[in-house]
Amino acid sequence: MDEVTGKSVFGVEKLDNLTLGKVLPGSMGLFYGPSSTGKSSIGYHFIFEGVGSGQNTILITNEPAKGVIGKLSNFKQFKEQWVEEGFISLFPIQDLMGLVGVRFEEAGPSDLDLLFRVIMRSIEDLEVKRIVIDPGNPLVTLLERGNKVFFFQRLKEELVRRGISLVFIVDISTPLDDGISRVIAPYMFDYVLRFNREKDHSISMNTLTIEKWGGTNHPHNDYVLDISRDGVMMAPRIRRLEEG
Amino acid sequence: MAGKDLDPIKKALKEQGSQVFVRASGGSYIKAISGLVEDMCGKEGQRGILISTQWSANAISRRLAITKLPKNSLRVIDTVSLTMGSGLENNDVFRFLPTPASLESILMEVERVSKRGGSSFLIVDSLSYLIKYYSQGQLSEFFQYLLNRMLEDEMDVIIFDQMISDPSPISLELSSIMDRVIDLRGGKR
Repeated sequence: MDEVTGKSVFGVEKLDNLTLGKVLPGSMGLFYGPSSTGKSSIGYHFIFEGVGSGQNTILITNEPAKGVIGKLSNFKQFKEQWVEEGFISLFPIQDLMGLVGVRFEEAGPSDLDLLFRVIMRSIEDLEVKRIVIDPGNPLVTLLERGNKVFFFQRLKEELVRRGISLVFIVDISTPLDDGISRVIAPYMFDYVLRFNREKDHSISMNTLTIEKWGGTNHPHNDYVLDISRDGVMMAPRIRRLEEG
Repeated sequence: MAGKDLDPIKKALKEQGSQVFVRASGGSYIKAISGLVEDMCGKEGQRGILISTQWSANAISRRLAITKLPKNSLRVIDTVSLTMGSGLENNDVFRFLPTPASLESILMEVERVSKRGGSSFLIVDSLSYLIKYYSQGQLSEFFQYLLNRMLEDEMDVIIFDQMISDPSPISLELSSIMDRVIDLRGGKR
């Protein structure tokens, strides 16, 4: 449960229970893992829960609004009127770059500062309390291009100041500890969830590992995800002995 | 079902959220399960879940006389029928999982059914078949979660172990952590 509002945080019962509702305003979380492993689904529920408790939200994506609405509509909790009435604002990253005045492919370091200001201005105007950036890969590409290693620290300061919670979702196949990115690392985030796809008895299953929570290393227990129109369900991952 | 066989199980289930481990074999085993389901769903009007790891949907329907039970009183998680090549689709009573199903998929189905509310018991039929596919460590983890989870919802749990020889390590482990152990094998041992 959210310690401030008393509402659940992610709208995924087990995850909310496991994390004891320690997602506070001003927090910044990272979901990472291969594509189609459940990151976006939990990100969407994070948005739904925000709207459900009367908060305005922003979803920054890399595809047109129509496509995103289609994906949100896969869940019965979603109401299209939330978009029409402005509870969920959809911002394709390309449109944001349009506001900056450059094409994504041509953006340079100075454009990133402008982009940051555009995002902050939108947050202020819309009185947003929850943000999901999904996928964050285009932004990471931009940051790496501009060598903006302090972007997230700056973002975090703004989130804390404004009491906004943000989830940053990245499609990535390898552990972040491998140092594959100069601009994102677990230490920058308040919590880190790793998603994966595993096979057991020839059945493919999406798994979730809580790698970090609230500044501490979580026990790293794995959970299996079941995603349906009704929402996201979790059960503990039961490993074969030889898996350790 | 002979009342004298069912009595000790019913007595052990007096308190809500009881966890009972039943050792049985042959006729006593079949009678105990069918009698228990008939009693809890039919006579007492309870709703529950049956995890079936050894009887197909057709066999269960016959043995438990499912058509005679009140509607929606029993949900069966069936990990057998698909393996037999039966072309069955999920319906109001049966949820079909392939064998060997991942233990997580069984847990997920239990979660899904219990989330709908109204279920007051869970029967596992049976431990002896699960042992064929999963290690002791896996089953230990599986049951630890399942028993805790059911306790949260105050659901009764009855685990059947169809024993023909000495108890397996997981059988001993479960019998040591559950509220009651009932042995229906009589003098046949």
